[in-house]
Amino acid sequence: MEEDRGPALPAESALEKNVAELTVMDVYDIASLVGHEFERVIDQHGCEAIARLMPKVVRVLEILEVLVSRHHVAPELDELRLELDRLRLERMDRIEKERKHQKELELVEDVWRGEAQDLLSQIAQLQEENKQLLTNLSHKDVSFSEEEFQKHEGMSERERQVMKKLKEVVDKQRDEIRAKDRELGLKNEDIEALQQQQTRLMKINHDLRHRITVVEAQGKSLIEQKVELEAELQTREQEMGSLRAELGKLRERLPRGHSENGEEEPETEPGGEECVSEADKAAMDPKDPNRPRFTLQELRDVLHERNELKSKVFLLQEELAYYKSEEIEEESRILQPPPMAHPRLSPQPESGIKRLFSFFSRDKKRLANAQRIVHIQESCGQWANSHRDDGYTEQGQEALQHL
Amino acid sequence: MRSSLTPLGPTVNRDRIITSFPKWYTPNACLQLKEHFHGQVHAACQRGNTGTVGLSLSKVVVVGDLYVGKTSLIHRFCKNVFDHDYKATIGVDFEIERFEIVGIPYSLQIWDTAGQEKFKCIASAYYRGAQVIITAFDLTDMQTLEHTRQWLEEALRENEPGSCFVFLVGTKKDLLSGAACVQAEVEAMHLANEMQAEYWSVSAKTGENVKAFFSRVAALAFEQSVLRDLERRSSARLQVGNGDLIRMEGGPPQTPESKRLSSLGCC
Repeated sequence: MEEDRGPALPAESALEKNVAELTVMDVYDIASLVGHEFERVIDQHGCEAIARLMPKVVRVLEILEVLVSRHHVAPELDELRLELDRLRLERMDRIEKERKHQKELELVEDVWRGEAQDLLSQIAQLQEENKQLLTNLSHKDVSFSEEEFQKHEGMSERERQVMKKLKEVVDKQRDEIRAKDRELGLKNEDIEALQQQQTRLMKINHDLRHRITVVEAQGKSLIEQKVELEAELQTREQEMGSLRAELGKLRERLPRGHSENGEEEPETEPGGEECVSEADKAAMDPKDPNRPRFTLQELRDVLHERNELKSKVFLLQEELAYYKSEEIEEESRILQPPPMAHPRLSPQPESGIKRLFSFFSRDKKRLANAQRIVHIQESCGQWANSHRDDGYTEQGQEALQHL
Repeated sequence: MRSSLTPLGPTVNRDRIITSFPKWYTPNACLQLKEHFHGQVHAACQRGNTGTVGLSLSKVVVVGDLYVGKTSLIHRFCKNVFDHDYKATIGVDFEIERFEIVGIPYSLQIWDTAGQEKFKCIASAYYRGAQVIITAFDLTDMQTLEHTRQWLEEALRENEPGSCFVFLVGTKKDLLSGAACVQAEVEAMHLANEMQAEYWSVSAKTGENVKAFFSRVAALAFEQSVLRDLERRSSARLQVGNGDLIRMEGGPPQTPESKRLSSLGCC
């Protein structure tokens, strides 16, 4: 195709080109032109016509190709040489610039060094000054401030100690206050209890006082009654005496027919009755030996006396029985071994040692027995004076409690 | 003190030692049905903690119409004798009988009152402070049973209500037998229930039931005495600050004085 379309124009342009500007491509174009020409010749005259010519042409074209290619390298080299030159120039410029910079730097360095030297000298001066001042200061410290400092520190320490002590004191006092508070509470409770007891005791006291007043009043009235009764009795006795005298007179006057009457009258018959009431006299036949002779009070008194005597008999019987049993017991103890179930069957004289040993138990028994007897006597006292019952039992109970 | 009481054993007749609770005569008319001592009482006796009971005398009053046999009954029990002749009691008479109940000595003071109307004013003065009232009647004379109401009323009038044990005792049991006896007893039991009394039939002549009856009386009175004592002591202990309130430092919490004070306060 290329050969068909383009051979005319590039081949022609390649042929018209300057020799110096010929390229390998141009050579190829020329070769194609030559080929075309050969084909035409072949068509016209057959192959034998150019058979000899063709290798020579090819050879020439090949040489041309080599030459053209050689020629083409040379301009690149030139360019490179030019570039090299330019680069050399540039480098020169830079070196120069560097030199300038270095010079400037040196200058700056010089200036800096000078300044540093100045500063160093200044430092040295200041150090020296500082040293001097320090020495001055140390001198002064030794003389003044150290003492003050020490003083200050000592003060604070002392203060701390004082504070500590104060704190301890405060703590102690707080504890003490608490303890005192507690004590106060307890004391208050005690006081309350005491007050309660006091009120109770006051009440009891009041009651007792009341009772005492009552009893006193009773006692007084009883004494008064007694005095009255005594007076009455005396008057009665006087009356009786006068009546008896009268009776004696009357009897003397009467014939001695009432012999029975004469026997009884001096003993029991109250002389007053005859005179006092006629009705009584009528009701009771003075001749009846079984007619009532005692007043109610007399009967009461007699019964009371009888009861007392009987209680005494009881006690005596008990005591007797007790001593008897004791004796028998002691006797039975001698008979070894003692048959406790039948103590009455073994009467024997006791030995001194036995008596000594039995002393303790006997003492005990006696005490107990005495207590019983006391109590029985108390209860006997109640019989006649039933209104005093409470007082007696109270006393008895209290006495027993004390025992 | 208490332990020293026990050696008095020989003075108590062996017949008067009571160890178990005496039974009732009839369950149809009795004061209590239990057959053992109250647990508290038994425990107190075992410990010997009966206070003053062992030293006291319990008063028993026997009332009833004349000629029902009050004196005979008492004489049969206390002296084990029987007198066929009637002798009216003048005013009052008494006997003391010693017992030993569950190991504790105990005494009954038995008051024999006159049944005759004319002695009533004297006898009634002796009713006061009775722990036991025994109303006696003649089983052969129903009129005397009817009169026991009056006798009991008079005896109770002199005592705190509810403080006495009441017994109704039919005497002369030996004179009755069979249906007549049953009839009389039924009537008596009826009345006993009405009076809240315990009924017993006895015969002083033969001695039938006499000892059992008085043992029963003694046991009931004893039990009541012990219970009252325990109650009194426990309440006395509770009353009035007995020193427990105040506990001063250094001093004993209870001194004998403070105790005595507290005991004073209870009365």
